[in-house]
Amino acid sequence: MTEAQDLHVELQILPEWSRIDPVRQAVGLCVEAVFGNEDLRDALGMVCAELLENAIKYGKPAPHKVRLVLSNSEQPQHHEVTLSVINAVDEASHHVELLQQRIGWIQRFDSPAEAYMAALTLVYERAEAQGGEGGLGLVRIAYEGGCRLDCDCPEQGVMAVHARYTLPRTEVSP
Amino acid sequence: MSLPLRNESRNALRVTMGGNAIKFHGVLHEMDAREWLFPLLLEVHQIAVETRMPEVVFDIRQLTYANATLWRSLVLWFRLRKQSPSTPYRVRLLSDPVYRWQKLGVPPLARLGGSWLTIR
Repeated sequence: MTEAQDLHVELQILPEWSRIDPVRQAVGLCVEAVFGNEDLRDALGMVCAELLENAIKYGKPAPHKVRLVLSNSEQPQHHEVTLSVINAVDEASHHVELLQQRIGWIQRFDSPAEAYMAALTLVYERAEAQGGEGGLGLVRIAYEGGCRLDCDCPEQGVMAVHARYTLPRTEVSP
Repeated sequence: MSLPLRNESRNALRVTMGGNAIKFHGVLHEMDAREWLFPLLLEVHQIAVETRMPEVVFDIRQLTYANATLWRSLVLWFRLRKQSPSTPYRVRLLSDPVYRWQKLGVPPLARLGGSWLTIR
């Protein structure tokens, strides 16, 4: 092992709602164990839960599984912690396009906080959340979770959503 | 002038209601939360308006985690209150910033609410 902090966790779970909270807690504890940072523990725990909720709501049901990968890459000034959720989707599903649109919508704002405020205001003024509940969850990941989002299709019928958190070295407990 | 006494458990969540307060304990992460949470707040709203309750306390200090449904339901409740034709009640939101999700999630709510919303 050459890195001071090394994180690599892979889980594969059934797409069942009851699995989300144990995984949220496990991800948070792994992050805290490696980086000694409680804020990051709570942030990535929430990010993990919101991404799993989307995967279970919009992905294919069991026996298809949802894969979660939590990893770290060390940079000179910071760590980049990436949480990816990969799941099977119906090939006719438009969920990937909708997700990409939603991520593009978030990126149009100067900050995630502004995007979050705009999303809440839409609910307040029009009783709607762009992209449904998942739409608010994604913007929450950007704002509360402090993560950059992107998504892709690693193969046909499979989608992956990646949330990346930049952790300055000064915020890591040795 | 009070909310009906209630003490309900839903998986890892407990909701208690009574007096002028509704309190949440545990974790709110159920798939069907949207189907019961906003209707519950709608009921609170109707009782508060009918009984001319001056204030409703919404207490999440013991709620260790909640998914986005909580924020969405709260915003819809605030919207409902704004649209109420009769003299509406005040809302006091009790939160605990020790939880990151509350520390970051509550201030944007304050921007939506006016002088009728107190956040502690």
